[in-house]
Amino acid sequence: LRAQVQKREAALQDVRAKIAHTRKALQETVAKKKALEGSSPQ
Amino acid sequence: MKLRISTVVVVAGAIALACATPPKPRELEAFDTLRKANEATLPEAGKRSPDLAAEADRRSATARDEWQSNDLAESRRDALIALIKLKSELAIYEQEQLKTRLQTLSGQQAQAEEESAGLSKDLASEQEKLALLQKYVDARKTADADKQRLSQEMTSEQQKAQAEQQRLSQELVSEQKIAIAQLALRTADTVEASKYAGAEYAAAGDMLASATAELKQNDYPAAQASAEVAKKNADRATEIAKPLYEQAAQSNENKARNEALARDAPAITGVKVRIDPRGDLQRLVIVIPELFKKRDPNIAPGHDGTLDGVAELLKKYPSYPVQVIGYTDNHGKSTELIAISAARAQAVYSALAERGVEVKRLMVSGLGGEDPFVDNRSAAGRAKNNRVEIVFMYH
Repeated sequence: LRAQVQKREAALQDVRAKIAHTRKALQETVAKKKALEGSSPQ
Repeated sequence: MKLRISTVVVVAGAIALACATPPKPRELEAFDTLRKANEATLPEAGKRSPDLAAEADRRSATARDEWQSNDLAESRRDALIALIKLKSELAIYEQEQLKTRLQTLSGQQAQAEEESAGLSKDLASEQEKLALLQKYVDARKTADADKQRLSQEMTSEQQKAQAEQQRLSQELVSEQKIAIAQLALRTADTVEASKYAGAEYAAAGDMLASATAELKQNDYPAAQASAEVAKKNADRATEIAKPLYEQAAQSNENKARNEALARDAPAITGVKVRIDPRGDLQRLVIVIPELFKKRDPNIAPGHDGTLDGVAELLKKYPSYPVQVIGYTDNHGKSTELIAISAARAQAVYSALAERGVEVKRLMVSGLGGEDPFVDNRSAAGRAKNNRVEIVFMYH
């Protein structure tokens, strides 16, 4: 059970890391999009 | 005495040793250590496994009593059992805790997976939008760059076209000025300026040649200037030559007309023609002999054809002043003959007027027997002298 818990915690950690990474990427993407919208010619 | 005291001490020590508590069994020590280490969790663990907790407590108490009673073997056995029960109690508790934790983790993971999936979806969506936006921006940049490049190219082409247009315009202006100068020179030719204004005409020709050469060398300002000078010279040559030419031309024209008149006049039937110059004045004299009978002032019949011919000749050459002079033979009084001859001239005047001749140019006179046409000594000569002369006058 300990091993399962550890494994599950590790997996959860991975998912959370993935979430953090995805969220950061999303923020960067949104920022880039806004910057492009701001700089794009009308 | 001393020996007795020592023996008493040793015996007393032995007794003391025999009556003292033995060392705590290590199983019991292990139990106490484990219990102390899990002191915080034991109440909860005891709730989960009350039987095991109670048995562990009972066995540990028994083992402690047996230890105090110096029953070490039993103490160790019961302490070991108590340790096993306690470990089992703790293990069950831990197992439950782990299961709960595992369940919690599963829930959290599922939630995290769901969140991750949502974020991934959002990210993909935003990335797609970003890619499209980037594509749009790139396309706009490319389009703007193309537009700017085309604009620059167009500007460059326009500048070239303007320069070419300006050059062509200058060339055209030069050609026009040369053409104007050529026309001026041709105009000068029409009045024979080379003959009557040789210097100006030659200068115009030279400048025109210079203008043409400068045009070929694309030296438009020089070509235009030369062409303008050529035109001025040609105009000047025309101005000088024109009156001289016109004078000459008029003279030639008059000469040709006089010659034509001299050719046409003898073709009239019943007349005699002679040229009778008097000083600068030239006179073409058309004699109509035997036009009258003796002293009759009226025209004798049979002369209509002759008068028609004379009338047509007068109309054909309308610019000549013309005298209509009547004559007689020399038999009679001079005053009487003059009157008859004047009447005869008037009769011819009237006949010509009837035939449509413009009579304002006609001057009528009678000279009697003056200037006989032939000798009056014979009747035939006198008949011929009864005549009228139509005199065309010119220089």
